[in-house]
Amino acid sequence: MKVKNNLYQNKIILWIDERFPLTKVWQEHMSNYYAPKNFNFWYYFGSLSLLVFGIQILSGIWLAMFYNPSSLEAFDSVEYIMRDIRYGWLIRYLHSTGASFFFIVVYLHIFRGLMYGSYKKPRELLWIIGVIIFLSLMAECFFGYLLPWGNMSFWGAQVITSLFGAIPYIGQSLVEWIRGDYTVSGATLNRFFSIHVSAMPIVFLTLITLHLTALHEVGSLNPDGIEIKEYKNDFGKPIDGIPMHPYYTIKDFFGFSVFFIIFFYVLFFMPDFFGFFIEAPNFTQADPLVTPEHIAPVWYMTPFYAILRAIPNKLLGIIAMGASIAILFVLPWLDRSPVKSIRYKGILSKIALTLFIISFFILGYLGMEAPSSGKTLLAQICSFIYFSFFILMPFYSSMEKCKEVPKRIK
Amino acid sequence: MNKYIIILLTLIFFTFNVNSSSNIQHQSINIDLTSKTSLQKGARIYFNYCQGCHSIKYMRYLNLAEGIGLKKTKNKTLEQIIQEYFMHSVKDINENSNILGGVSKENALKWFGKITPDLSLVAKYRGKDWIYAYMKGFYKDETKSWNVNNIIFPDVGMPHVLSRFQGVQILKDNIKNIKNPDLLELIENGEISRNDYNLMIKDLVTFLSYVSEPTQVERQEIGYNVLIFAFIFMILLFFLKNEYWQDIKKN
Repeated sequence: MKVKNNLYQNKIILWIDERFPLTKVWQEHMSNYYAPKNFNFWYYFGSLSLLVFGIQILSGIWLAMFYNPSSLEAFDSVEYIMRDIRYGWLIRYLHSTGASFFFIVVYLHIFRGLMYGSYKKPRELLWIIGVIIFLSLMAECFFGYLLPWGNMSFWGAQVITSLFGAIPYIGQSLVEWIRGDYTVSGATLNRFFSIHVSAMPIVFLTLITLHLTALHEVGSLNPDGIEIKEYKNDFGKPIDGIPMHPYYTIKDFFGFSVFFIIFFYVLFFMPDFFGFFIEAPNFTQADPLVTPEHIAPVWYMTPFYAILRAIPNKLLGIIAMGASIAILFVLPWLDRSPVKSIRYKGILSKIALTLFIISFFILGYLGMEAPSSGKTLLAQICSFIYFSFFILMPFYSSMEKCKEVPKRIK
Repeated sequence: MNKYIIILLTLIFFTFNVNSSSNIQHQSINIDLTSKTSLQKGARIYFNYCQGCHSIKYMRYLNLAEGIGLKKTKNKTLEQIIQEYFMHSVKDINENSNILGGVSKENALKWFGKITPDLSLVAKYRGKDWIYAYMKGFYKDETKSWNVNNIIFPDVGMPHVLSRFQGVQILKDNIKNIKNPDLLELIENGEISRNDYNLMIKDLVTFLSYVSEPTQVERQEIGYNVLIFAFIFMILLFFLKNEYWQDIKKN
């Protein structure tokens, strides 16, 4: 079968097209995929997540060539990479800075979704796949964080794995099953390494493919929350859409270049980022006998850690932490607003989203701090706001007066 | 809406930076890692007074000699340099040997009650300001086995190896819990002035900071080039993007 409208007329491409739908796939997902013409700043973070994913995969492959996942050698092998491998420090910092930037871009990507209602019908499944990617990302970073075998790595893993011990009946056996030992040890390190470098990347690739497939099936939304597919021209193309390639590919490349400036500035001039990206206690080797003065997860986990600690009961705390992420799955059905974008939603939704973001940041800050009674109270208030944003959404989103959404993108 | 969000995020970001959870009051010092003299002086202090007990096991002799600018300036063999600068016997070491301490684990436990820590990463782990305050924080305390205690690291097992330079300090008031170096008073002068002692410690801190990440200076130099490249790349892409987007704007 010959593909029509083959613009390239290149013999090699024709040869491939007869055997594999190369031009078809390219057209479907790039040159003939129509995206709304009014993407703003917030729409850079999807492609940026893909870029950071690429950085992590490449730097990870090279790190794994020199890293040694045994409890006796792991810490030394990281220093070996930092000192004896030519440009090993660059590979390692690409990976450590990349991990934090992965979360920065993914958080901004999620925030974009919350703001413009990207989760609403017909994009529920797209959103759910996204939440699963976010969960996998947290798991991937948790596994990876143990690998340098620093003291914070060790105690962080010790604390997080011990959480499963709060589950009634099976808790303690489950913890031992996860750790492969009675405490975090060389056995844990080996299995975390295996999961981090083989299982999770496969999961990621699959999920990202699903995410993009779902996106290209329903089409991208935009800051106005208007479905461009409703107004098509004579060729059956959305009037307010433009082809992904070359318009958004070039725009995303421009986004990449701005990202690189920030990313490389941090990487080359402040790779520890004031102890946020690489924590000081991680510069001593894992020691089961010496607890760091204050155990805190890396910054990207802290909002959820703060919710965990806000609840005095350990099991309830874990349930609350799980619920704080699980609630994202049902978000598409909590939002009863007739409009999608925050631009046309009423004042209640705007206030709710603002309070939610503020409480999320405060929780993030509190998760890094040692607990005190005042801070626990603040964490409880913020957790309350966090959950209220979701639980009250069916009410405030249906009560408020929304602005009228234009039919077409201006 | 967008502007409002950006302002909000900036404000929240800055509240993070105000965060300081430590009760230790450190003076912040500026060190110059490009100063080879400072690095060499610091190395000499390390080899004369620290290496007896503390290793810097992730550092190799050759890398160190090159890193602090010894190899290139002299027409000598590395052995001669090691002997001359580091006051070292070259027996059993070659240029790729790791720099190890002179005390065995058994002896360290016997003498100090603790295995003496490796100092390769101490500047990352404790921070440069901490080491600076620590090395100035010893005071006389006859209840301790080495007759000294430390205000930054209470009940530390380490003797004050530089006391002949600094002199003898005492604790002004008997408040041990506040880690404030201002509570110390010099009662007996050392061989060098207070200012010279501060400079001496600063050289040592510079050296340890270098050892904690030998590629720091190189990293920043490469960083400038990468940023210049990324900036040019961004400008080119900006114009290229505008070129493509012209047809969209017209419609």
